[in-house]
Amino acid sequence: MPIPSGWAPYALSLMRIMVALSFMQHGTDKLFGFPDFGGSADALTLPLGILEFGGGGLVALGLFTRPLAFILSGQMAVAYWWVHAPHSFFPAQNGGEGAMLYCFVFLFLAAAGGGAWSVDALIGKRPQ
Amino acid sequence: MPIPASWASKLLSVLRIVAGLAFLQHGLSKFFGIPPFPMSGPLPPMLLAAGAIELVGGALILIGLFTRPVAFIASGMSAVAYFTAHAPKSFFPAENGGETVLLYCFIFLYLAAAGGGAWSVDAQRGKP
Repeated sequence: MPIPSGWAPYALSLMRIMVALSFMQHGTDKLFGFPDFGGSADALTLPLGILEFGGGGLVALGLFTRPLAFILSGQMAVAYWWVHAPHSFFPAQNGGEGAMLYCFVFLFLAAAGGGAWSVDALIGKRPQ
Repeated sequence: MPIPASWASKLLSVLRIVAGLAFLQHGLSKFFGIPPFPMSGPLPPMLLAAGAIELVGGALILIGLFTRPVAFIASGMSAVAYFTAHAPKSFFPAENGGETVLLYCFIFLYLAAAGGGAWSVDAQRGKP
């Protein structure tokens, strides 16, 4: 196999960090306008920005990974069905492909935890 | 914890199925126009190669057959796609259109180490 299976807990952490960092972009956009993706603010901008920046930041660190990933997974499911699904059946066309991938990565992390490189593992809260 | 740790292997398979389906979608779009591909005219060689990996690789990842080597190839293809097609446009994945490509890259890299999980053809044939 090209990648040894012994690397799985590390690859899991790498995936968690990259996915969470990418997720945080949307929070920093909503809270600080950086990077600025446009769009106007409404009542949901602040709570969603806090979830994406704060929740995404903690998942990136791997602290309280499982409960937070569960919340973020739910947030992305709502975003997909509410914002994206009405535009088209296909995720590649309705702009919800990212939301869908985040949803299922976070759902998996909610069960599997943060992997080898995480604050949870450091402080001894690994699930296994 | 909201999601039991024992579900990790099954949710890994759910993540694999969703990511494989969404990846397959891009191959179907390039070759068969389902959903319609935004570019008209014949595909350039790089997109033909990418489409072939998306079509065949996406289908194999979807059913979980030869998951680890196939996911490794799909991860590498996503990395190339990110740096050739998206990274030149902006540093931020959410701005350069490469956000989902980045997610695929790290999801598939993890699958290359971890395999297809409990619900996969690989697990059925005893080669997880």
